[in-house]
Amino acid sequence: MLCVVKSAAIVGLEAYQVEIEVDISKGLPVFTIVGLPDAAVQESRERVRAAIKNSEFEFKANRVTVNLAPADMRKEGPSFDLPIAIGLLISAGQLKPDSRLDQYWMVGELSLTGDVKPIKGALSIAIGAAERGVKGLLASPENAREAAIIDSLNVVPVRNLSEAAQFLSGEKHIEFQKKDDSNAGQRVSENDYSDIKGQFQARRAIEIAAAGGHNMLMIGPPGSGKTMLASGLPTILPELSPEEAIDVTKIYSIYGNDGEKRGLIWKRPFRSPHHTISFTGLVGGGQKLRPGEITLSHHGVLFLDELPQFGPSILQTLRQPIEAKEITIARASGNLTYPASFMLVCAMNPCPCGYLGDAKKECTCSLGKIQRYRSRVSGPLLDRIDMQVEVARLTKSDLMQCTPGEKSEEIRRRVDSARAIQRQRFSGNHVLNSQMSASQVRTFCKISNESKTWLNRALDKLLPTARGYDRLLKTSRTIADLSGNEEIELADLAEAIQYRSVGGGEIL
Amino acid sequence: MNKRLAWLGVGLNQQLWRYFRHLRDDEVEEVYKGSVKTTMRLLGVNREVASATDKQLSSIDLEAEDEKIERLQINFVTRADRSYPESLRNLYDKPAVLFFKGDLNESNDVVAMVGSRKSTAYGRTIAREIASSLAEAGITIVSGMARGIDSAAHKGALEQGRTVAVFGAGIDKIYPPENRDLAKEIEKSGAIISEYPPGTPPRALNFPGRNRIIAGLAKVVLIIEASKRSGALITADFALEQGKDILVVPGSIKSAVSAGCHGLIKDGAGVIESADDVLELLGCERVERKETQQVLSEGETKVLANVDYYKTHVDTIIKDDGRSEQKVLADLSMLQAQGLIKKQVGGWYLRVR
Repeated sequence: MLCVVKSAAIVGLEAYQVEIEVDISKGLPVFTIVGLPDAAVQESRERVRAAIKNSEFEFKANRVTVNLAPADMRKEGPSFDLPIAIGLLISAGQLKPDSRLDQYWMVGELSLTGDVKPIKGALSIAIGAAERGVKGLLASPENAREAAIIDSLNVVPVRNLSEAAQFLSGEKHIEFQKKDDSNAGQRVSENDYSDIKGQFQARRAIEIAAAGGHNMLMIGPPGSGKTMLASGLPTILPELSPEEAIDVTKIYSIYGNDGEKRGLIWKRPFRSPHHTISFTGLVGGGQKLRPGEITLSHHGVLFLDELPQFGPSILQTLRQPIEAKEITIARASGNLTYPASFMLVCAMNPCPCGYLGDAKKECTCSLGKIQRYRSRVSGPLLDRIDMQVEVARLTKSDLMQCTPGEKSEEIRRRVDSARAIQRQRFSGNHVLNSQMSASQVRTFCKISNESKTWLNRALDKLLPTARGYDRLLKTSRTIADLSGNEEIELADLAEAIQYRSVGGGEIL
Repeated sequence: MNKRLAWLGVGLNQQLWRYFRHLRDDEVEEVYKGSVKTTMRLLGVNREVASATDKQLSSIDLEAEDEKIERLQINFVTRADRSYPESLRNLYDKPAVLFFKGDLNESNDVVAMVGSRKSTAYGRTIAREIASSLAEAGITIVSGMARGIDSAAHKGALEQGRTVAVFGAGIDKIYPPENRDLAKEIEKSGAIISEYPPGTPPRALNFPGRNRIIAGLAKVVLIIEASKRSGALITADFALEQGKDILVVPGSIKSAVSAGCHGLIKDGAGVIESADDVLELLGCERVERKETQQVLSEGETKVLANVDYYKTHVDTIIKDDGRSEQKVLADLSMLQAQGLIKKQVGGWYLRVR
């Protein structure tokens, strides 16, 4: 007897429907799965067999064929265990489902005891189901909590195979999973900026970068607090909007955020990959198609510490996503696009030993060594970084004297109002000052004649290597927004120059 | 064969030069013409060395070398020439040949300015300032065109007058490479000089030799910044040997790159605070400089008062100012644009004027 059960699989971040056809016929006891299954799907035979037996059903020795349609897409992972088991039970006549079978998708891994375990990407599947007008989804309780974010879907948490069978036959009523809003608007603030003493210029730079979404580079000796400054960023960035939160949760759901509470993620991502990261680790892809760090920092911050240590080819690959806000991975089976709209924050030492320009410690590097170290960060990448700021180590007396800095909360209020101005300027589109096109820069970053004359006169002295005039204007625009200036004023421009000129051009 | 070419032959063989340095011009010619015995007598060496020397010298076609150097558009003067710099004539080990580009004109007073390659912004600023003032007063600045103080001195001198660079490599091998443009500029108004034949790469052991020429050319040697083991101190030693005055610009007692300078002061070197001190020593007229009074805003004046001539960190400036970061940072840019302060690596600012 033939039976069709509906389930889903994921390509990139999107779910597509998979129809699972189960056929039992007389013949030698064989259990085959076709439809391009990978090893984890193949092994599902053993799990299904044991789960059925241990759930007080009978696994009859017959010729079983399972087809996963569409047959030309590669199927991965253990998420088809539950639908295959249900299909088998129906085909064998051990389960008589009511009409709801057709209206539900089901996903889940089975343990040998028959328990349903969570799978990756439940949120994407829930979104896909809702888009296709599917009525409901059967999944493990963990997955159900995640999927319940989608209001229009009836999400049924099933703890084990028998529960799923009883629900489908109508023997047992299971409450639909309720939406869990408990962590809405929750931002984890381990790193409040009030913990950071001194560093006035760096703090100001961070605030500007957050307000305009500018990429930034911090240069400073070890122990100057670059990592701490960067990791506090999520606390001053605006809260995620509900749509953004769903985007982020979807990505982490597919990546498998094991251990984290399954629910909507409201915290802005902060990713800090180590410099030994591989190409696929950063941009995504790989055999099992996973999003990379740049996608995991979507709507958040990607922090690259020790920037020159990252391989040059790794840094090259960042250029496209920085511009396009997404990454397209070309595969033999077709192209795949992951979103990657992140704020790039980099940190590096001023020289290989780290102490060039330090107040206390003498730098031991030769000039050639310093030049080689700096040249490892390519010009094209630096061209995409609007702001550079030097961070110094605090002396003991600084630490004793300085009063605690401003709270993140207060900084965020200013960032929020600067962003509100930007939303108005770009009439609601999600464009930040840092993302302005060349023509938008011309329209929105007009400077007065007085400023122009000043700039022409001063540029030689201030920016010996005058690259990126546009970036200077973009940063000025954000500074003006923060101070509520309609037009970019001379003072805004003058301050912006401070974040374009890193000292030491003369020694190098 | 003439005396000029004979010295050229010696100059092209740097490793032989030490045997020749005490010879008179006609004696060199004799070495070329005479037998191994003559060579042994004149150079004071054994037969083995003498025959090797003769062989080495005769292996070079001097006429061809002369032409080759000319083709490279390089000039040279030898000990036998009347145009050989007078200031070097009295050196006991004066170079056999000086290869040069530009003009060796000696009508001006010459001051050498040397210092550390690893200099501070303070040192470079001072070097540039003093070099510029001295050049304005008609003094030629001679230095070694190394990174740091040397380059700053050349640049300062070029702003107002004439400068001469002495190389530790062949003059077609400009080192450090980033000074290629600087070398061209120097050549136009002054000269670039080297005792090493064209094509000689920059080697550490060549640099002390260069320092003796720098000290030799100058009347006064000015040392801006030198650490305890700086090459600038070698120049100072040569200057002492040659009986020249040494003047030192002091730095912070905490600065490692001023330690050598302070050592010289302890040993009795003169201290200078401005170009005028040097001019006084040389008996030159001071040049009246016109100070342009800049009009500063209230905020700029306040910020400027918080930046000292040594260096001040941006965060300290902000803290001492009391106004918001944005105002202070904007004022810093304004002051930078007016050339009153300079930004340095690590977020440091120093007052320039």
